[in-house]
Amino acid sequence: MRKERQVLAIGVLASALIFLGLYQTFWGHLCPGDGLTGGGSVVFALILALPFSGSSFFDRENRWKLLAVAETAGALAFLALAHVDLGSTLFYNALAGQGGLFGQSLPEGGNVGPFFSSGTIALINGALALLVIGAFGRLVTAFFGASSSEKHRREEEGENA
Amino acid sequence: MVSRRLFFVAAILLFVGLLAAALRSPLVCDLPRDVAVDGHYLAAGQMETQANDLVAAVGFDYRSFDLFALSGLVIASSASVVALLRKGGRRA
Repeated sequence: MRKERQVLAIGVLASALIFLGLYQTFWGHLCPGDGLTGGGSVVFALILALPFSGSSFFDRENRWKLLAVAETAGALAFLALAHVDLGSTLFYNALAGQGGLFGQSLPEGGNVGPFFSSGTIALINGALALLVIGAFGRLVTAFFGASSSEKHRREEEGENA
Repeated sequence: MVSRRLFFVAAILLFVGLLAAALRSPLVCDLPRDVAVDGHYLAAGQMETQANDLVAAVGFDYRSFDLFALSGLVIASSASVVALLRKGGRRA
């Protein structure tokens, strides 16, 4: 019963952290936060959830592959966004104010601002969040895997002794 | 032994002196001396980047190379630790 309550509390906290992370990432061009802090919040949720995940959470191998794919996709998207305008400088924000997706115009002065503005800034936020979730998520998974395998080894040694 | 202590005390005094000077500096919470770059960010940052968050505008647009290096550090740290902890990896 106590374990169930703990899992419920961790689930609520982790969900709130994931929501906060996504909000920071995708509204980073309109309010404080960016892809780095947003990705960090999602990794916090992963850290909270991992000890209580058990076998119900998707297993370590699949999690590892998913995080590796996220890291690679984030890094490649980041590099691609740096070369959006090949005729100009690297990281030139060629999409800002050009219309279309993420190219909406922003009124000058204080305003809430449209979500699809800021050109490549919002997209770089997303790519960086993916990269951070993948990289630090793999770190966390590696550490948890190492600690659990060490515990398993000690238990085996204890049984053999 | 005495010279090491003297060096230690001198280093602490230097650190405290520099910290006190930095805290007393008008640059900490005042206008910068050269407003050419900062002034441009403040005056035209919102319209040039189409972003309300000027911190994101500077970090992700004007100074994106910082992020480039930062992402490299993230990948390098992740790859290093994963290489150390991988299954069947070498242990020191």
